[in-house]
Formats: sequence, C-alpha cells, structure tokens
Amino acid sequence: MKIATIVKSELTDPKTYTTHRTKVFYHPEKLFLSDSDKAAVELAVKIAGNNGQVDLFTLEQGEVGVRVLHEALAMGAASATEFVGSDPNDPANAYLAAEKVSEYLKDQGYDLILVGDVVGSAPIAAYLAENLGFNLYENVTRLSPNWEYETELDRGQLKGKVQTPAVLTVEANAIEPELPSFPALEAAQKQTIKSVALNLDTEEASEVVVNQTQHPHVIWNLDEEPDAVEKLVAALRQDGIMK
Amino acid sequence: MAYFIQFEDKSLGENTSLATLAGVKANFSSLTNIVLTNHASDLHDKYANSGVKTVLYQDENFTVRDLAQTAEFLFNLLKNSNDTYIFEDSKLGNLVAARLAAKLAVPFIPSISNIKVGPNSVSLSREIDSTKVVRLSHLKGKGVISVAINGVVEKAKAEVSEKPMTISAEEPATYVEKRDAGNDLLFAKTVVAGGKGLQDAEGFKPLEQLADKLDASVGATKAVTDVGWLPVSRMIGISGVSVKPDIFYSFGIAGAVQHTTGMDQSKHIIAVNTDPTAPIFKLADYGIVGDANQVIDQLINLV
Repeated sequence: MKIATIVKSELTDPKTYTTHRTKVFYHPEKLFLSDSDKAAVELAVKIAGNNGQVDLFTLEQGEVGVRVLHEALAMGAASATEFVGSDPNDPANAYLAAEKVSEYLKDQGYDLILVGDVVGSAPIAAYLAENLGFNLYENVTRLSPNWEYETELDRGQLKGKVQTPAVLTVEANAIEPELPSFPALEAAQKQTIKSVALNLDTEEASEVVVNQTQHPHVIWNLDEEPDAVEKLVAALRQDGIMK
Repeated sequence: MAYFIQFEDKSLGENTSLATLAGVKANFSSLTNIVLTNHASDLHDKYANSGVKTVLYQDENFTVRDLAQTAEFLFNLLKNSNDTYIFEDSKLGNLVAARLAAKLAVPFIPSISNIKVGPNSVSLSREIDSTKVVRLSHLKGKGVISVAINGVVEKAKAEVSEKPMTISAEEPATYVEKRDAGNDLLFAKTVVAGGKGLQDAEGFKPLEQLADKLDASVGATKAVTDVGWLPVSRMIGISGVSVKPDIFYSFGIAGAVQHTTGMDQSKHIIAVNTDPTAPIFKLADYGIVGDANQVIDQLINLV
C-alpha cells in the first residue's frame, strides 16, 4: 500500500507569537511535529508494513518544514517533500493550496492520505478528498487492522468501515507513537528533502495581528457604582462576548 | 446574505445551540436559518420564536451519520447562490462545513470568534490558541465559516417554513453516544454557576431564568450540591466535572482551587461576589463586587 502523510507543527507554546504594541513577532524555533501527525505517521508506517511505502509531505515553510519532516522521517517514512509558498495555518487560501497539492499527488498511485488533526491549522483534508475523488474520514481516533474506524464527535462517535482510496484525519490518541531510535534520527537528518513550489495566488491570504480584545480584568463595585450591571452588559456587548 | 446551517437529528445529541444562532443573527442583517431534520413537526415552535427566518428541510431518513450525503444535499441546495454559509464550531459542524466548502471549491474558515461585516467583505477573527494574537481573514465572496460566538436568545416571532428533502436510507456509519453525553453542562457554550453566596435553593430559580435567556447550562460548587440545592451532576470542580465554555458566569462563588480547577480553562469568565478579595476575581475578565442575587435579577432584565 502506498501512503502519503501530510505533516505539520503544533502550537503548544504561547510564546510562539509574542507582541509589542501592534507588532507581532513569530518564533518558529518553538514549533515541532504535532502529536496528531506523529500518530498519523505511526499509523501509516504500521499499515504500510514491509511491502508498503510512506511518503511525507508538508506545507510548513523554512526551518519548521525541515524540522517536522526530519522528525517524521525518523519514524520510518521513505521520503520527504516540502511544498513551498503556502502557509499551513492560513484557512483563507487552504483550498488553493489543496488544489495544487492534489494535482501533484493525483497520478502517484496513493491508496491512503493521512493528515493529523491539529487545532488551528488550515483544513485541507476535505479539499484533497474532493479533488482526488477519495473517501473522507475525519477525527479518526481508532483504525483497526480490518479498517474499522471511529470518528470523534462532541457527544459520541461514528463507527464504520474505511473504503479506500481515502483521506483520513487522525487524532493524537489514535495510536501511541514509538520513539525513534538514535540511528533513525541520525539517518533522517541526512535524508534529502525535495522541494516543490506551489505558486499560490496570495491575494486572499490572511494576516496574524494583535488581539485587540484581550482579557480586560475590570471589576466594578456595586455599592460605589449602582449601574455596574449596565456597565458589565455594555462591556460584554462591546467585546463581542455577548451579542 | 448569509445562511446558518443546523442539524436536528432526533436520534443524536449533536444539535446546535440557539445562542449561536442569536450570535450569528447579531452580525448578519440578512440571515436565513436552514435546518436539516428528521422531525420537523417538533421544531416549528422552537424556531418560530428564534427571530430568524427558518426553513426546515424534512426527511424521515435524514441522519447526520451520513456526512457525505448531508454535504451533497447542501451543495445542491446552495451551489447557485453567492453567500456566506455558517456552521457552529462543533466537531459535527466543522465536518460538514469542510465537505461543503470542498464541494463548492470555496474557502472554509473555521473557529471564528469575531465577525465584522463590511460592504465588500466579511472580516473574520480566529484566536490562535493561548497566544495574544488572532488570525484575521477577509472573505470577499462565497465562503464557508464555523463560528464560536454566542448571543442572547430573544423571543421574537419569525417565519418558519417546511420543505421536503430526499435522502436515501443508507447509513454508512453507526453512532455510539458517550457515557456522559446526557450532561448538558459538559457541552454548554455558556455556563452560569452558583455557589453558597446565592443563600438558598430558591436563589437558583432566578439563575435558571438567566440560563434560559442565555441558552446556558447551570453549574454549581460542591458546597451547593452537597446540601442538595442542585444535583451532583451539576458539580464543577475537582470532585465533579470540568467545563470549558466560551463564557462562564460565576455567582456567589469565592473561587477555591477545588472549584476553579474545573472551570479555569473557560474562554471568558465573569464573576460576582460580595468579597473583593475572593480568588475568583483573579481569573475574571469582568467582575462585580456585590450581592449575586441582586446582580442576577438585574441581568435578567437587561439581556
């Protein structure tokens, strides 16, 4: 079985973005392969077994792209490719990026595409499935050897059977990834990463700006301000907390 | 023009909240509420008082277990319009929204917490985890979004119509409810919680009235459930449930760590307590030092 796994980083450290007045500073050194992508790679390697092949792809840029691919290569994948010219966290042009990625993947004979479910990343799985004509299974928390899956909803789970070819988005708890060995880490660092330019129209791209509705911490005293409740409601409405 | 899209599947507990509909309504002057359902006759009264024009699409075979067929129906319904399609920021909402966006080949912008509708575009803010930044996107044409915004449910009359839809009876997946799926408190977008500061069990009646207005779920401290003012299932904290709503209103709660452990991940916290040194104020975005019962009564009249 030939499997493509699209990996990305996960924002776990709030200091990945710092601010000074209206300026935003980005600290890519704080970003590493996401837990759900580790699960996706582990699952892919297990499914592929000895006769299959797992190829890695990422939309992450620069040092983050290289880092997540090296981390994932050490888990047993065969090759790594970075798509250059897109922001994996920008939902505004994810459909354009997915279109280019689909074009690249479509004639390569993949049976399965696995993507980790990362909070805050742009959703591309549905676009890939639609463009490639694959079945789509999202929020997968379990995939058995006979292809039975579980999809996580808020109050329950959907259970069914995966029909390939398929795109699956994988939750971090789908499988416990094994730690890569030191020789595997060393070999991954030496592996060549292929670059493919996406040439996206970035006119629709979104921007990262300082959150102007920060937690204000305002406390009124009802004895001193009899209209404190009116002030509270007005403040909640102004902040968009109460519409 | 915008459409808010909801699902009402009587066999599943994954339905949308009226507070989200109210929040969306506050942003879009021209809004139609589309509800895909298998029990339309039960829903006329609910949406007739929502203040939003509602179209109920009915088929007894409809189920959200079939995500692909649900998205296909919506695609055929909406493919010729050029609008904004809005879903609730829930797992189910996002699953169908992503499929619809892919079919329409338009952007899907999930987890929006703030919307500004301009003459030529819709500006959408999405908070980036626990950072001090937001991602700001501008939707200039057709697009799909999911929203985590809440409004106050006004009891305003609205037109409700019913149309048939055709859905095949195939179910590609089965649905298994989680063990705690029946406890609304765990899934509420807004929680109003009371402590011993509400004085007695009677003090919780106005709180329930406020909860009704805010489409919120009522929670309590261990001290309250221990004396039987509310059932144990309502207990928030280390011995009870942990909640993470968009808005947490705390009335007459001092904020002992045994309680705050279960609510300190809430997005916005509003606290009311007579003691200005109560630890709950350290967590609060907004607070009032004063009698909680008095504040609840005033809030009921104001919202």
